[in-house]
Amino acid sequence: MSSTDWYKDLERAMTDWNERFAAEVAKGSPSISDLNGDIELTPSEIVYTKDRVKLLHYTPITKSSVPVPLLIVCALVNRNYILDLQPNLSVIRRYLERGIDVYIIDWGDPAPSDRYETMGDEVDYIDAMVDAIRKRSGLPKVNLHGYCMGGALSVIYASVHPEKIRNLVVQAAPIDFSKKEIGIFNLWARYIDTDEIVDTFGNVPASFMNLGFLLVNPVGLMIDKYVKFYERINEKDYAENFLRVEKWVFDTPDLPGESYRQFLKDLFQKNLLVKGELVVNEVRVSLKQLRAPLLSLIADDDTLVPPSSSVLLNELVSSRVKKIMRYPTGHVGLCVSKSAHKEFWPQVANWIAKNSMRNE
Amino acid sequence: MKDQPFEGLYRSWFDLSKTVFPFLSPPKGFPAESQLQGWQTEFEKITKNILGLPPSSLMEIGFGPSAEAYKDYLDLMSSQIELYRHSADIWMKFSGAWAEGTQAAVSRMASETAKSDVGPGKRAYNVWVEELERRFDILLRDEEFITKLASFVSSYLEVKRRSDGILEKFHSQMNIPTKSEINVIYKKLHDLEKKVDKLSRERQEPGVQ
Repeated sequence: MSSTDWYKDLERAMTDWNERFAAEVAKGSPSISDLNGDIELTPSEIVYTKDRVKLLHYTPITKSSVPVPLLIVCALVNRNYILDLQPNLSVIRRYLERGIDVYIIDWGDPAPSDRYETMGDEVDYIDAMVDAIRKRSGLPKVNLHGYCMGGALSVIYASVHPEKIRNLVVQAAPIDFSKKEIGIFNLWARYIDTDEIVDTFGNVPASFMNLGFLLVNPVGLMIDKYVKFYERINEKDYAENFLRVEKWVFDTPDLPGESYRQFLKDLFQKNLLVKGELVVNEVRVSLKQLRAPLLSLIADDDTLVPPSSSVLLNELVSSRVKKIMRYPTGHVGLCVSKSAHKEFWPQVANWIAKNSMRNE
Repeated sequence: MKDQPFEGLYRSWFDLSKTVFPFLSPPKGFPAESQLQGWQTEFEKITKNILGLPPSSLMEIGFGPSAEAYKDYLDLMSSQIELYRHSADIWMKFSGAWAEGTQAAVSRMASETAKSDVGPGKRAYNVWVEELERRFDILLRDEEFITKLASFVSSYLEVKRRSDGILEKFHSQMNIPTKSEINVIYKKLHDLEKKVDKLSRERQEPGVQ
């Protein structure tokens, strides 16, 4: 086959795709308009509010069999419903099915006046939510599950307030930035002037951050993803799930400026958390203070938070019970992969249940 | 005329680019100085019309607020031109990676043997995506590119700062609180809230510092 033949093949294939797409649209595209891209949230109620930040409590779906409630902390850059997209792909539901009492933080949308909010303020928000749960449950400690940036915040919180944490689960948490096989974000953070961004924008706009996320893999995220979607558009489950994830990807709030500055400079650029030199609310954060049983969840194909950025945590803490669970998927795939919901998340829920009943 | 590999694709890509970034479209001899100059002249004409500011020849003999405002606009315009130059750098790098990846895919496909489970078009597409991803991954980790990306971000922020600066002056002249003044209040508010929060906690848990 000559190279020109191949080019013609590709052009023919692309024309074919275009014609198929146009035909779908022309006939009212039942395969697209019939898709339900709405998020199917598990019922919950707001039980506590501090400023714009809300604490949601999920309605139990089975008799509670785990004595310690669980608080989930997601990243501020994304909405928390990635853990609750639809019933069969909901981490929340996997926990509820196991009899865990689940709470989650909704960070809300920062107003321009929130530009001075620091990581210390976010740790204070977590503390206020933990205290609200302690008060409701009458228990001295709660379980904590942090995802992505929420994982890093949870680790900081659990190091500063070890007396309030029974078990800690961290999922795809960016902790260590010293490795050579670092993510693209980490590399860029060394060159881009964080101060200039925050001083100019105040809160960092979601659109600015989204552009960064897309640039991490422009071909995969701006071309191939949509071609694959189009190829499988008639598979209802796949297509609907795709639309929901897509909705989540672009539903991003702005990020409080000072928090962004501190996260980028102290963690990404200076690696202060790992060095034991991070200062939050005038307190030096020592990972050695983290004594709660620790479960680290790592996505092997994570390009946003490479596994090397998370694995070191288990070596730096004082927890006697600690475990790493890995799964062959990406950063978001861990939350929304069907197989992960069959095999992985029930095991995570079991780990939480087992360690909640263990004598301290 | 003999078919050139990916002629159609390039054409559609650049057609699309022209729609999105009209000033970035020419693939050769870029950045086109004449285009930028043309745009600069147009920009100058429009701003003069809108604001009734003196033409540039009179600027040196202008005085007071009009000369100052005119200088602000010229600075803003210069920073916008810088932004376009930096975005052109990024665009060139992206186009280069795109062309290289496509070229590599063409060479690779010429020697690939047909597989029965995938059609030729899909196979070609897969190879193309694979090669493009590889090139982009190298590019996005390349120090020279990241430096250019940082300059692009910086020049974008410079444009925003300058236009914010012009607004600040307007607001100030119109006796409206400026963004900087509001930010000072936000900061005070934040610090006060933090203080109140700390005091409330100390009151609830005596002895806790």
